[in-house]
Amino acid sequence: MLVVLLGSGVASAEDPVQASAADDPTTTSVVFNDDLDLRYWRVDERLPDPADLPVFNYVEQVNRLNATVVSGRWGLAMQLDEVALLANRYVLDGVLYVERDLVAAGTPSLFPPGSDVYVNLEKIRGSFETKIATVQLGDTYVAFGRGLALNLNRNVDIDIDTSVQGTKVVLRPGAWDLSLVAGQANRQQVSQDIPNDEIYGDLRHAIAGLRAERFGLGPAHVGAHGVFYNFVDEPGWGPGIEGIGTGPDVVTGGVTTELVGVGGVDWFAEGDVFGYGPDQPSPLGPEAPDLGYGLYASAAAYPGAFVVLVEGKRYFQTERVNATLTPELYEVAVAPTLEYERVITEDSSAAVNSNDITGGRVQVDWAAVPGELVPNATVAVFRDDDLTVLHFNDVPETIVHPIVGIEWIAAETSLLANVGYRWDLRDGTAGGADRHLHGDLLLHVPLPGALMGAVSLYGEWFRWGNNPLQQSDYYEVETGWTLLYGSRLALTAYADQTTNPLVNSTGNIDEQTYAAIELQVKPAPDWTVKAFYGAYKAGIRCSGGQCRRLPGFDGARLSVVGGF
Amino acid sequence: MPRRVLFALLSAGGCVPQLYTTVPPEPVNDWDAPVNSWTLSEPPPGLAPEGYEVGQVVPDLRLPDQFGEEVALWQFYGSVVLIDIATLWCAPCQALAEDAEETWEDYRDQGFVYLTVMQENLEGDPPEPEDIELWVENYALTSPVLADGDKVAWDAIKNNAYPAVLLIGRDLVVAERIDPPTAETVREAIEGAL
Repeated sequence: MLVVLLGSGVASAEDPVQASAADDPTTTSVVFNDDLDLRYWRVDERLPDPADLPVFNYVEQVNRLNATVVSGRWGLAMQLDEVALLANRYVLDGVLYVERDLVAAGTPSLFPPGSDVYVNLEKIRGSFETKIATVQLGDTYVAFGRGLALNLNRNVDIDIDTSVQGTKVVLRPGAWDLSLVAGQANRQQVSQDIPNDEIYGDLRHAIAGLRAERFGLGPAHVGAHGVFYNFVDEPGWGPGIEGIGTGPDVVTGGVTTELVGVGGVDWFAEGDVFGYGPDQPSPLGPEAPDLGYGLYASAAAYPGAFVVLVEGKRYFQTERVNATLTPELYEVAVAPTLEYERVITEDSSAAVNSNDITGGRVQVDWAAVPGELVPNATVAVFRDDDLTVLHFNDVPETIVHPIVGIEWIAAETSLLANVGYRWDLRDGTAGGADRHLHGDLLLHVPLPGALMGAVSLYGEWFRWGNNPLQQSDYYEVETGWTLLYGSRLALTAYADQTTNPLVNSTGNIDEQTYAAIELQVKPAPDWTVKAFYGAYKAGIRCSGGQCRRLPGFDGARLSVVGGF
Repeated sequence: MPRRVLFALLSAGGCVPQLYTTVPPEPVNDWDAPVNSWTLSEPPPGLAPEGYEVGQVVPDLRLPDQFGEEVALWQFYGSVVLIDIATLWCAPCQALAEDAEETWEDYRDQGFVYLTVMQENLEGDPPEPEDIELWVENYALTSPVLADGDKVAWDAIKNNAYPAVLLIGRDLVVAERIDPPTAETVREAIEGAL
């Protein structure tokens, strides 16, 4: 299946490259953060002769160094990535063989072609900030409204980091915020979570956007924005710059309205229109219109001990803007999907990436015992009329997904638990329904002495509807058992099992069972050292509105993260 | 001389002189024609396989078809070939297959071949003959469908994503990697190459 990225909301924007003005203009600060990862990969592949030597095992070393300098209103930040492969080649009968190419042919590199080392100054940004203006030159991040039209942020959980390399100017005159961004997409080359191989250069898509917001119109905040995209087919600076003159491939425009505390409710609404050029084929087919639109609204109320959140969406050809980028594993526009990210599967990813979907979600949290016991319930209902690309179903379907959960805190004991059932009912009787039962739990309990125990459990049982090429039903179980000593020491044992045939990894206990152990030490507040040995399974991981498929791992891993 | 395998424990190509040369692919001077029912045209002698990148001569994939006969990719020299590397379980592969037969029929008279290369069955395992038959019957295909359980064509896959769709020119050079691979983008690419 296509490895597509999914959206369920505005992605988090953790930005260690942030350079902001200091309150005291006379001080200068210099901060470094380093993330070193050393991985020993065990590979099952063997040569025909000799067949007993693990020739293809190798070591991957990745380092990410972030440096930030702030002096008064000026700032400079950069990120330097480096990756090296060791034991990546062998000699057989006098002939040297390279097991994998770290860098794809034609990719610019400081090192000769065929090298097992790659270094990249991935991000760099200079900034100047006052109370009414911020100017950034270099790599910047941006999101307009709830992200339907433009949402490029750094997602540390799944190691997606695509910035706009160019200019960002924010003016704050009075009750206004005016944002202008223009530049080219700069995708992160080096990954710290997935194996690095065939690193290729950037397709520098042109992006330009403008947003104006007016605050304090009574309880209302309003905004309007426009975004232009021009996508390129070839890597390098040239195609990106030439593309600017050929006209945009996609033009979006949108408005947002926020009302705070009106009728005791916080309201938000956003509407965006997408105009697609002839070079942007629609997944819905050649008869699909060249326009798309997205509508999102939410209402949050706080009656008594309850928090009630109601959200609705209507998206038609909004994912089409991301279709060109699927091989590059990121999205430029990430709209709220209203889905429970933890349980997104190959099947439910179709609805998350749908180009024709309508739905809503209601979530109720009840502070039964404030600060101690908060049960919650959620129900989401969607109508998905898209049958293309990721959809296995041949007819439209109605999705119903209730979830109940609880958050319980009592002194040093805490419990977070959720149970849900997702039901994808296909129109008519022939298609049946995909059914997904899932549950997750995180429990912390105090133990004698200064010890604390933590248990993390996740389970799911998935049953397919009726497909012409019928897949197998499956279950998955993930467990983690942790012993903590204060905040500086943690020992965790993992055990996973899956019967999902689409999981592209093999267990180290048996084909379906994985086990591992990890020791985490914090020698200082800003330093974390982790040592991992064992295996974990492949799967989809979602965070902050985007998802990606992560491969499994079998081997040993050492990571050191620290700041100075 | 007994075969020996040495490990290179440290390789930092930028810091040490290159003490070796990699072996270039061997040119094929005596091409062995397979026996099957499909179009067969001998490639020029001395052609050397290069890879699956655009501009490279595609390797001579040799895989069994739905009739159990060996098919060689190079036997289609002189035709425009669309290689659709797929799995039975993937939804976009199934979506693309819906139009495969019609695409094959529309362009075959102009020297076009639609070649499906199946790498996994519904369980994610190497496809058996009955899995190929299931695919052929479900989509009513009369074009070649090859079983690649050993994933000989794995190097054509990018980012573990299926389907991987390549358009090969009449000279067996990769003309285009079609992304995203939809019925429309596939037809557009084929018409541009014919």
